[in-house]
Amino acid sequence: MTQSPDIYEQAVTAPASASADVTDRVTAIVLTRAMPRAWWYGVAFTGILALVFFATMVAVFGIGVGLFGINIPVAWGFPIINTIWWIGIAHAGTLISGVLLLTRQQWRAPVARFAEGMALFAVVMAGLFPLLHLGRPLFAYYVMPYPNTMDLWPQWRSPLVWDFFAIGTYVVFTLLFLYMSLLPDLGILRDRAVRLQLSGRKYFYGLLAMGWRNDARHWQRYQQANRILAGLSAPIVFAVTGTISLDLAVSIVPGYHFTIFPPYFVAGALFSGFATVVIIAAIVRSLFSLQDMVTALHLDKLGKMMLLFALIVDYSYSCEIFTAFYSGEQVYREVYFQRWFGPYAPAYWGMILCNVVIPQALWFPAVRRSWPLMVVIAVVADVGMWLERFVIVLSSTAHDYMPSAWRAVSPTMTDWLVLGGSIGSFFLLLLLFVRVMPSIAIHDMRKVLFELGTKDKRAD
Amino acid sequence: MSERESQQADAALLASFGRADDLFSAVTACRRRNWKALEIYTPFPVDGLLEDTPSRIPWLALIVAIVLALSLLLMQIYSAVIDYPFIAGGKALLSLPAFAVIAGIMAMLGGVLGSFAGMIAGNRFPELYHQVFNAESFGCDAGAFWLMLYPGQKDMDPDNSRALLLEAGADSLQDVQP
Repeated sequence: MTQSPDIYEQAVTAPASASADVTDRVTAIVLTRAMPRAWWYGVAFTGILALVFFATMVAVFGIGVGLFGINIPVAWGFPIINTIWWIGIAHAGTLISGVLLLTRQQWRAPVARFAEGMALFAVVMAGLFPLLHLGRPLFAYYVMPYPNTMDLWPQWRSPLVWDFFAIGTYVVFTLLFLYMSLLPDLGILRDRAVRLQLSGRKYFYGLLAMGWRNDARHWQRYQQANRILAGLSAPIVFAVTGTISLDLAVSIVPGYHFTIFPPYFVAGALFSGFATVVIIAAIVRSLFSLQDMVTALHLDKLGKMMLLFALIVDYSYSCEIFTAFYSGEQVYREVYFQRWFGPYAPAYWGMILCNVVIPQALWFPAVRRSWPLMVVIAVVADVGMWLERFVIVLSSTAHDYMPSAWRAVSPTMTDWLVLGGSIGSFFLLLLLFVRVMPSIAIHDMRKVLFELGTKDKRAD
Repeated sequence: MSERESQQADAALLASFGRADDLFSAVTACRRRNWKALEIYTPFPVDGLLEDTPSRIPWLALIVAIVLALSLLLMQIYSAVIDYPFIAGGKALLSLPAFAVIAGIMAMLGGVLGSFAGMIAGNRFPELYHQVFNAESFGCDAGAFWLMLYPGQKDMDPDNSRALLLEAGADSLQDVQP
């Protein structure tokens, strides 16, 4: 098996063999190769976290939301922070699949598949927390307009109802987009399984592939549908995170009530999302020896995207501070002094360190092309974005209009277990996904490799 | 006609090509002969192979988007203005800006569902059996370009169709029974 330093260099002179190389290696991971030991350790560890998550959910549903560290006036805590954080992580996956497809960025090819998988699993995690945080989760379906005898309608003017439609749409979109982009690869897996005479798996992939056979007319419709979905991906991203940020922004709580929230949250979402793509790319390429497909060039591009959105987030911080002080509202200024010097100050300054200071290292190409440094910066970015939501959600309600109601609350063990459990479940789903589905989009790679090959010939 | 000859008469001719350019030449040559009953298989989408046909998928996406958005908008208006009107927070009964949020989101959902359904229906999925799967070497994993020519077209016989495809640069030819 060839191990050229870079499959893209190989493609310039021999696109067919580079393409065959990619097909062989990626299908082998799914069909024939034994999983590396690290994968088993990963599944064991994340499996334990997933069990912890499940047990904590049972406790919260059974005993009640009093287990969380929330109390009046801080009526919202970790669940909403986690929802916003997970949805944010999902958005980069959607953007890589969608917007980078429309702008014909070739570098999306090797990362698009696991970015889309990441988006789906992050959305699933995000969707669990609104259920967990309900005082009466058994009535969660009230947000849906169903025929009933109680004259019950949802409150259409509430962002919490808009959330239901937005997150629901996002789940459907992510699932359909992932499935559609998997169809050609499922055909590849089916036919490879037939060639290798793997009886159970050829039926499994065969059913999922629905008869895909690389017909040019099918590709034409596939491309049309793909382009429409890609075109819808940007508005959906803005609608979903915008709507979730409106949960906070439509209230009168100082610290929540900023019109900048929708674009600000979208930028923050994409920052943490691209950071998570970097982490997952590092894991997948080292697990399955795909270093020549997911290269330092891709890392560099991801780093530039992270830097772009970090800068927008940093600008948004300054906008928030400016608005708070320029508004003349005493309480808004008080909230800021509390964020800087009050009980949540360590979280605030941690957020500044993680989202403002450390991302400046991304200006340097040497940093962007170093896998260890980028993984560290990515983890820091994810932590920083979580801290940002923590600061916004908790510090604002802890110090709002009524002095008699000023009170800080601390998270409880249940809060941390539910957060850690969701992270574990997310990685477990991802590890299972790369076991069963090709972690690199083979048909996208084929197109890129052939384009590299023909470009060079035309230059002659 | 012997049984073997009649089997050959039913069989389609499957040619494989290593390069997209060779496939292009073969397709052009078939079109010049007015042999339209053919299928083309490529490992990734290739522009220019097919004649441009107007697509219905964008229209379906648009229609489903409009229908879903209008339905949810009308539902909200009916519930808030006619069925259960109540004043909350001084907001108008007909709070169109608020209703527009869900209507807009539903339009996006409609676009998603419409385009996906259009693709699935247009491609006639699931179609688990197709003649081409009877060919020994055919497979999506092969990474080759294929052309399958159906028999019984005007001025076509087994010899001239084979000759045309070989001339275009086919790497291999095989008969595929239905």
